Parts: sequence; structure tokens; C-alpha cells
Amino acid sequence: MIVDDERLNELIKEVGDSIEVPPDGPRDILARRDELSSSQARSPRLGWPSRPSRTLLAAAAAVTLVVLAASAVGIDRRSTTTSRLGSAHQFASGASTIAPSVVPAPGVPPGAVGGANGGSAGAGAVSPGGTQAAASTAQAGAPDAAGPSAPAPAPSAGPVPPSAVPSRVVKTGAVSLVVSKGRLSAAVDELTNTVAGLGGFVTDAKSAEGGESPTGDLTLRVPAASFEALLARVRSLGKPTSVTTSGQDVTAQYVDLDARIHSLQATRDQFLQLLSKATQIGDILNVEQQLSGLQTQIEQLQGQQRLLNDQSSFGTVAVHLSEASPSLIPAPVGPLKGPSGWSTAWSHARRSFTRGIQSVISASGGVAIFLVVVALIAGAGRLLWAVIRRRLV
Amino acid sequence: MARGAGDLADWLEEGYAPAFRTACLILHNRADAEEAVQEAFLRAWRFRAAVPSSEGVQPWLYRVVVNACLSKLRSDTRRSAALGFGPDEIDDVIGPEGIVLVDDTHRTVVAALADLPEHLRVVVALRYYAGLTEREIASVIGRRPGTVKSRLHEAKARLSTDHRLLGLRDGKTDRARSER
Repeated sequence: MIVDDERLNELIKEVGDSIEVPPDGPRDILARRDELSSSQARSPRLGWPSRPSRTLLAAAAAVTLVVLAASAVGIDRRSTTTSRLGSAHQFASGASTIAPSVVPAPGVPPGAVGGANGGSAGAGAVSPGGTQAAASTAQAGAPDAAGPSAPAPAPSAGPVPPSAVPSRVVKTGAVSLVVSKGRLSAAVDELTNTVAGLGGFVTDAKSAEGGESPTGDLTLRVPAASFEALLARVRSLGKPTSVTTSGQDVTAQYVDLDARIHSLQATRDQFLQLLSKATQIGDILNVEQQLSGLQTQIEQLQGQQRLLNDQSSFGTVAVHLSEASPSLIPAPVGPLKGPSGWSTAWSHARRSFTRGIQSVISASGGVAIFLVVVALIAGAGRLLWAVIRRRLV
Repeated sequence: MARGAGDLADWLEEGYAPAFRTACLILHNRADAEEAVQEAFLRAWRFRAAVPSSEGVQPWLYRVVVNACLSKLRSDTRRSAALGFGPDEIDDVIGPEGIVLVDDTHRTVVAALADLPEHLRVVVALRYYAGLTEREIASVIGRRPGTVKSRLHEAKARLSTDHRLLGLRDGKTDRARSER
């Protein structure tokens, strides 16, 4: 025979009810409660905080959240900066012999910059234009290209019509290319011919064709208008493993140079007038000394400007060539040769997934980081609270 | 047990007896049960601000009591070897004043309960003595209702085939019959 549910219920209920309850139990508990209350009143309480303390805790939590949010935004900004530096570093490592060039913007006559500021001599002629150009540089997010011809824009002051300031962009690019086995020297020749055909030239060429993995490094310069055409041609020669291009707006730097030159020239003219009126030997010597210094400065600045002008019409592309290793050459069709369809699909899917996550994070900016941090804090708090509650009760 | 949040005196008036008896069924020792229930009510009162508004005071108080009992069981190493449940300890449960009323049926039921593992004993006490629903028991022991259901099922399976309970006569217990 089996004891059924109802009988079990009845038995346990009856047994439970038959247990005698200590008559003094509740009274003892109340007495201990009073005892504890009085001892807590005498000494600071270490248990769960009272309501005012909880309000304070809530305020502290809110402040922490705000600080974390600010940090998240800060992290996002820093990461943006790091990625820019990273791309610049990649460029520098890909092409160590690149010299940046200054390219006038399309549709702007080459002499427009000088002409725009020719009538207003003096340092005060350029500030708004310079500021605007600096802002456009920041918006463009172009990495800082290394090189003596690209110093930071110097501050200047004075009105100039914004429309009179054309933008000048340094165009640089780096391509790492894998060509078929034995095709390295042919690719070098083809690139040289292409550059010549586009009206450019090769500024640097290194190749190591001996050994098992021949490589070549070329630095090509072509007229700005042919920059994209050259890049396309380079990419078509083999399998590009990395392509980096950048444009740096150096308008502010150019305009500033121009303004400083005009300012110094105006000062020099005034000194020349003074010199023509000077009669004392001491005065003449002083003025000539000043004139000499001014002339040196003017020539230095003009040299820099000439350098910019000289480079203005050419873009630079650094090409790193290497031959495909045997494992990279597509294997002839046959069993157990090369990656299978499954592994290829898997690697494609993995890359796409990573790219998707990266693009989601970059598109959402600081918001995603902030939300993740808040969600983590909320989750941890909830978990902690659950644990504390279980411990407490 | 108390139905709403209130003062400790109200909680005790309504909840002390069922809490103490539940603790006795779990712990099999009056002194330990008294200690555990006292500790539980004091804790409950101290942390009364943590009463969840959604589930009310009753399951929460039972949770405090059950946790106090489990702490007692785990801290008391004697209990780990308490499977041999002698007649003296049964008297510990029922109480010296109640001995005259205790019959063999009660002893048998208490002994059968004592042989259950603690996790089954807790759900049996809460279900059959305290009368909580499976959902309320789940909230008390911090497990899913499905877990409670399976534990109850296992406990019932053990008890329904317990040879001591099978040996009991049908119908009411000796005590019930003598009262009649």
C-alpha cells in the first residue's frame, strides 16, 4: 500500500500542529529586540544604512555614473585619436621614404593664394582664413604627415574674406601589394612606365630580388590630378594587402607663411625709408642691422613657401611589392589542396562579423560604451543586491 | 504568518507558532528551532526595509526562517550525522509537555521526515505544514518552481514508500481517534 498525498498532508499537518510552542518565545524575541535597539542607539550602527544614508548612497551612485559617462566619452575621443595615429604609423611603416606634397584644390588657379593676400600686407591679413582652414583640417581628420615642410599653423590675426582662401591638400598614399611569383621586376617596370605616362616620376626605388621572397619599394610622384589613377593602376597589378591614403589640409600653414612674408616685407620697406632718411652713422648701422635680419627671415619663409609650391602639384604614393609565397598561390584543383569551401566561408563570416561589430561600435560612438558600462553596473548591482539580500535574510 | 508589513509584535503574534513548528520539522530539535526562529525574527525586523513589496511578508518571513534553519544545520556538525533519529530526539521535537499526547503515529511521521535530506525536508515542511504554494516555496528557497515541483515529487515518492508510514493504519491517527 502506498501513502497517498492527502494522507501525507494530513499526517504532517497533524504532527506539526501537535508541536508545542514555547510560550515565552515571542516575549524573549521582543526583549532581545529592545536590548539590541538600545545598544544600537548607544553605538554607531554597522548594518544596513538608514534611509538618509541610502539617499546619500543613491546620490553617490548618480555622481559615479556621471563620472563614468564622462570617462566613456573621453575614452572614445582618445580611441579616435589613437586610431588616427595608428593609421599614420601604418603609413609611415609602409613607406619610409614618402615626402608629402601640397596639392591645390581642384578649380583653384595656382596663383590664387598669393593674389588673394597680395593687397593686404601685414600679419593681420589672414587670421579668419587660417582659423577656418585649421578647423577644416580637424574636420577632415587627416593624419599628421611627417616632414619638415608641414609645421603646425602659426597663429595670425586680421581680416580676410573667407572665400579668398583656397584649400590646399597634401595627398599621400601607401600600398602593399603581392604580385605573382616571378612577376616582381615586371611589376616594377610597369609601374615606372605608368608613372612616366602620367607625367610623374619615381623618387625612390629599392628592390631585393634575390632569395626566396623578393621585395621592392617604390616611391612614386604624379601630378595631383593623376593621383587616383595611379592608385587604381597600382592596385590592379596584384593583390593589395593594405592600402592607405590620406589628405592633409595645409591651407592654414600656406596662408600663414604668405602673411608673414608680406608682413616682414612691409616692415622692411619701412626700414628702407628710414634708411634713406638717416644721416647719423650709428642710425644707419642700426637700421642696416635690422634690415639684414629681416631679409634673412623673409628668405627663409620664402624658401618654405617655394618648397610648398614646388610640391603642390604632385601626390606621392609609396608602393611595397612582394611576391606571393607558394601557400598564397592558388593551388591547382585537386583533393586536399588549399582551403576548403567551408574554411573559406568560415573565415569570411568571421571577418564580416568582426567588421560588423567594429562598425557598430564606431558608428554609435560613446553611446555604446556608456550603455555597456551602465548595463554592467546595473547588472553587478542587481547581483550584489540579490546576494546581500540572501545573506541578510 | 503575518499578511502585511507591521511591527515585530504583530509578526510574532501571527507568525511565531507556524514558524517555530516549521523550524522544528526541519531541525528536529526544539532548542535549535527556538534559537533559529528567534534569530530569524530579529533579522527580519532589523532588515524590514528589504521586504519585497511584490511578494508580501509571509514568504519573506518563511525565507528568513528557512535560511536561519539551514544556517543552523550547516553550522551544527551534530546535524550532519543526525540520520539516526532516536525516540529521545522525537520527544525533543514534540516537547516535554506534549509527550502524553504523542502517539506512535506522530513518532513514526517525525522519524520518516527526519530521514529525508534537508533540501527535501524543507519543501515538505513548507508545502504540507505551512501550506505554501509551489511558487511561494520557490520564492522562499530561491529556486525555480520547477525545482520545487521535482523536489516535492521526490519527497513524496520517498515518503509514500516509507515502510514505517506504510505500517500505519488507515484513517485518522491514534491521537485523532482518542480525541474523538
